[in-house]
Amino acid sequence: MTTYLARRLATLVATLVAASVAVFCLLAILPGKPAQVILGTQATPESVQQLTKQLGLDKPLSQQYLDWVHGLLTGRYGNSYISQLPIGHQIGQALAVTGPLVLFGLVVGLLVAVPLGVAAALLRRRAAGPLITAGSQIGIAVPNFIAGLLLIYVFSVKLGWLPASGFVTWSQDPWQAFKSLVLPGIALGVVEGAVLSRYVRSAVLDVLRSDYLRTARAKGLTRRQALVRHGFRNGSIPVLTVLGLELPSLIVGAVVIENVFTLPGVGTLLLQAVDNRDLIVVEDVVMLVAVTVLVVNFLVDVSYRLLDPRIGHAR
Amino acid sequence: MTLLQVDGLTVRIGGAEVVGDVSFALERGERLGLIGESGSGKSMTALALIGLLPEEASVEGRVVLDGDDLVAMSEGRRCDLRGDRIGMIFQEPMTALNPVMRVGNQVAEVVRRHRGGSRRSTRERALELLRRVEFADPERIARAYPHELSGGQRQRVMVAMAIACSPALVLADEPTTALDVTVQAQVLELLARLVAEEDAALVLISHDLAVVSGMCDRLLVMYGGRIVESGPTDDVLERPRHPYTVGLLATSTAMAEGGRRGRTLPTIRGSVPGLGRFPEGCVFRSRCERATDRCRTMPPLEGAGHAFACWHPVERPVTVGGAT
Amino acid sequence: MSVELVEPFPEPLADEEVEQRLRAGAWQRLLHEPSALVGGTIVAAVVLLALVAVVWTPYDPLAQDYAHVLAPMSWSHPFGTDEFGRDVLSRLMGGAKLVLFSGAVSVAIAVAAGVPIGLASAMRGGVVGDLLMRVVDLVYAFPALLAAIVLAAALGASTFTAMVAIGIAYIPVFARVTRSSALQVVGSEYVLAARAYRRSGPAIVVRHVLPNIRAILIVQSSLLFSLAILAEAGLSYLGLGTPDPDPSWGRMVQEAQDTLSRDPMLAFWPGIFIALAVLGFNLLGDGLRDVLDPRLRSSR
Repeated sequence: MTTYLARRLATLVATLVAASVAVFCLLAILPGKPAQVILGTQATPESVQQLTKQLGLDKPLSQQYLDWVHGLLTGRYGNSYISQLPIGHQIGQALAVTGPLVLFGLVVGLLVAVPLGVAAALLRRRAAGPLITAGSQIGIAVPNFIAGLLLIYVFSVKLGWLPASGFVTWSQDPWQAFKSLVLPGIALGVVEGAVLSRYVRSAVLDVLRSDYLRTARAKGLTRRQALVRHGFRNGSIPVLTVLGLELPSLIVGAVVIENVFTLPGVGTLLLQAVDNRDLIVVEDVVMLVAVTVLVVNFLVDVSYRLLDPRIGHAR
Repeated sequence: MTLLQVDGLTVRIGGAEVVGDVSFALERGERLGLIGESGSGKSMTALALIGLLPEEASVEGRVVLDGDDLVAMSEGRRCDLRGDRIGMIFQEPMTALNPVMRVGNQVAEVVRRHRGGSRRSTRERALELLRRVEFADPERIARAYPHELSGGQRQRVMVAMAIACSPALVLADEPTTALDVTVQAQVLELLARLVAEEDAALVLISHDLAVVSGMCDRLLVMYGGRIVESGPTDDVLERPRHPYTVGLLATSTAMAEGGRRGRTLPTIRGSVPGLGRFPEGCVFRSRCERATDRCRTMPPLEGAGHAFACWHPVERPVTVGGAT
Repeated sequence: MSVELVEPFPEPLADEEVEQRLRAGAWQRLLHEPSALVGGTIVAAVVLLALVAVVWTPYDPLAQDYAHVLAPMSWSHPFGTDEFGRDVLSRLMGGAKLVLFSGAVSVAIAVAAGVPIGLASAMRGGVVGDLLMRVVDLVYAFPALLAAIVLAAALGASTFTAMVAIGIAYIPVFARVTRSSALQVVGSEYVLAARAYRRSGPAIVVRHVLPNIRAILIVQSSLLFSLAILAEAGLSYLGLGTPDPDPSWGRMVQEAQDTLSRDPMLAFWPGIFIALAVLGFNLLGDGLRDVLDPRLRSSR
């Protein structure tokens, strides 16, 4: 396990470095000089040059890259080119929205996927099972922003229960903040849940067909006892893998959903920065997402090993 | 005294009859061998006895254990009997054990289910059981996961689970088929000894005559979901009456001896038909050389002690190996 | 949006059923597969809509008509008009054209780059193959839509950027699928035999590998098409895809959001079209998989 961890960590670091180089290079070729964009078309060449120098963009690319990474590692994110606000602060504020939102989506997704997937597998010979499966097909096909609009229409416009947009900070009014995340969280989670429910279903089917479940029954366990005691852990292994794959798409989904509900989250920050050609903010946000995704994958891999004793011996 | 009485057991899956009108009785402590090719309904019979058939199967008939009909009783009561009065050993020790649960816990689970007791006492009992199936260091085995054990070791764990609650009946479905030949004998010997110690009856299912003949008092020969011949082991082996039994014996004896003599192996003509494709009447007639028009009706299983279901039984004692 | 396209836990079929499926003609079997039938019908309808849109739409999708703003459904405007008085049906038809075109380009990019990469790494093995797959895995771990956002940021928002970005983002999916299925073929005895006859690598690929993985590639393409539609809709919705005023379903939803309380169907029509198109390609992919590769049958 220790050697595995060490090796897996090394891969993680190497991947992170590669990702940072990729992000940096991609944005380095961005057309339009940032200084020119910031100062507008009226600016004199001298002032553009001066600002370029001030931003450190006159240095060779390799130096710029190292400065950037150094900043990231030491927590000095610098200031936005455009708003001059400290990026660390901006990202922190945005995370206070996006973090809970993704978590909310994840919880909703699991709440949808696990019961539906299990039911679809257990009831596959009755009418309900295929019906759930068909429903999940439709759920997968609905883009999350459509789901979001549907929720807004029903719960905000028609019923007026929950806010359709905007966000007050947690410190101002936690209850209001929570309320404004309910609809976005559901919109995000339901669609992911539909995707996930198919994997839960086939994982449960695999468990149901397994010999060890029959053994458990032969020991005198009821169907339910056998499923819970023997099926849960076995079934959760493949589902966990898929969950690891789905988390990135939840994060990306959050970018879209924030746009639907005009939430000041990481996605909004990113899109604004893209709009404004705020290079350094784009780089930092993309890196943040990349780190999150890669670390999540790492954690999934590791917990996979903890859940499944067979893997440690395979290599 | 009769422990198990099976009457007219019939199992259907999706319209196909996989077990047809199977009846037999089993005395306390008796060892019964159930033999036949794959697809003959042996495993389905065993699963029907313990009530673990696939969901889509329908069962008719009676399976009476100690006066209680297992087919008619509630699922809750059946659960109480499984693992307690009836122990079962499956063919694939690799997949039959839960891959993510320590072996000790899996053995302890059956004890806890039926005997209750503290975590500690059931654990002690599990170690004792592991010792009984001849593990030298049960503590280490108890901590192991199934994939860390060999095939033979895993099957011994299965045996430990089957006898954990001193059952009256042990069902063993091809317990050694997946194992190396050298390990087979060891596991069979262990099974025989433990069943005898617990004074349990044994139903041993196998396609391998050698396995069954050494261990069982009585044999049931199955083909196409039906019992075609039954009787004391010696009688059936020495004076087989059903053409199918004759063919089976010839093949298996020739396998044992014939290889070195360079003879062509005798085989039974044709192959086992797919599910639901057995002929009307006598199920064996599509492969039988003695079949006549009369075989269009199913012959009854008749005979005291040594019974067979055939209109044209083999009369003379067959010199084994020569019958083709 | 799932990235793992092939359901990883296929339900085994009875051998007889496999045999039966292999015996009948592929087309005939396709007609007996309900999901393929429904999916195929939907896809055909979308394609038809797009083809008609090439030569004719009821109105010019771009023509604004301030006399008829937010018109309800009527004979002259079956789906009503938007806030600029543009005919929604015409815009939906134009959107169908765009969705199919950009989806096709995205899939083509993913296939054209992903398949050779997967083949190369499967055939070469060793350090080169490993390295190739490491790079692919790296890109794979990166969310596709995020990559598309970054690319759109770098290159500026346009239909072209969106298509290319989505295509590139899904290259790893194809590379991985191709590699894993090609490895099975490469490991088989007939390829070993071909190697023994000193057939060259490319010859083996053309004669043995490609024909054997064709089915799975077709299935993947269909499934990827639905992902590409979703991604394009998402990008357009965010304003990173097709710019105004060209009709794109995702963009139409975004524009209709402001008038959601007054005219909800304006947002939901394009939404329904997106969902239907995605559903169609998904079902078609599932159905094709069942027919072409019964052993990979999705557990239904």
